[in-house]
Amino acid sequence: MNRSDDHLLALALQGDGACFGELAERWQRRIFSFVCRHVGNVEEAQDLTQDTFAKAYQNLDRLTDPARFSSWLYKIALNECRMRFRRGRNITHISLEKEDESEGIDIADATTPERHLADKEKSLLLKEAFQALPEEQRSVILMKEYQNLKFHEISEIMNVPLSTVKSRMYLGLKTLRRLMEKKL
Amino acid sequence: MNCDENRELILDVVYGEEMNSRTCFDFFKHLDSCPDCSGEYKEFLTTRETLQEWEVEEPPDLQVPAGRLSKPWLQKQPRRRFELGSWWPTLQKVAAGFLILMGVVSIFQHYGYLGGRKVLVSEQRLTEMMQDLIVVNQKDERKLIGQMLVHLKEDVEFQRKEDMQDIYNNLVSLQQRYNDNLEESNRYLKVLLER
Repeated sequence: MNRSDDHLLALALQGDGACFGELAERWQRRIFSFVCRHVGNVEEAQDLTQDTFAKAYQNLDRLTDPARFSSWLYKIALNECRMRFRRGRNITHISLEKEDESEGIDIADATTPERHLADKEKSLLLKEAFQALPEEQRSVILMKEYQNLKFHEISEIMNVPLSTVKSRMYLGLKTLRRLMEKKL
Repeated sequence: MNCDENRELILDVVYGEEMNSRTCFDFFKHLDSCPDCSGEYKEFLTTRETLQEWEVEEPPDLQVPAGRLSKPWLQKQPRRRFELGSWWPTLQKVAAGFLILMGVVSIFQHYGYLGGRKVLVSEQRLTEMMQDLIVVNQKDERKLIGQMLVHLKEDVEFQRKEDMQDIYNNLVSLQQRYNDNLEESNRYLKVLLER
């Protein structure tokens, strides 16, 4: 039976942990992709995603408006990323294992090896450019570009006026473009 | 529509936000006539295309069949959460270790290996030490008693001297009175004889 998010959330609020688990399954990819792009590290993103859902489950009774569950979840994820940023401001994570694994090219893949490498390189450049952006601008772009959130939703999540969200987005995209041009 | 108004709307158009059709028409009309705004609009579109090329790896948990995805978030507790169960066994081990360490240190200290004074002496030596101590104490006591006797003697002699002086004074006084009385008696006798 395919139950709606609202239904699952209502049951989870009544203490049904299994329903929250199902809800988490539905949202984990989106939250993970947001967190992963934000922190730029897969292992850490996994931990932070886990922490996000654990925190959401523990504080479920504080969710005042179930209609805003997604915003609330993104808010928790963003806070987790910010806390991580404060904790490990000077720590740079380099995952050699993952890099090595990613070097292998799937022959069955339709793209050519040159194209594959070019994509990888572009992804890496983007990742580096994002990490160079101020945290506020990075968060806005990630939520807008990769999570397809509306500007007013981002404004609610970040607790800033709509105009601030747009100006951060505008400046962030400009800076990102400049950084990419410099690197390419 | 001018360039500033156009710039305010550019992100809404690029990201397909809800917009009034009339405003949308004005926006594109301005783009046709303004190469700067048109260039900026194309720049944002290109940036978006570039951004869409960024793929992130999926976590291992997400790559397994859906059946195994059941509630990984609920199975694990937050890492930094304060829990009684997590630190209590550690505390017990630390306390036990501390007590064992203290016991070992006490034993070493007892035998004088950690700079403490060696307290082991033979019975004979201990007896001698006690005798010495008693003798020293006896000497001190004797000396003290002797001093006290000397003081007492001095006190008695001083008291005796004072008493003798008093007796002497009294005798002198009596003799004086006797002489006075005798003189007066003689004077009366003389007066009587003259009569």
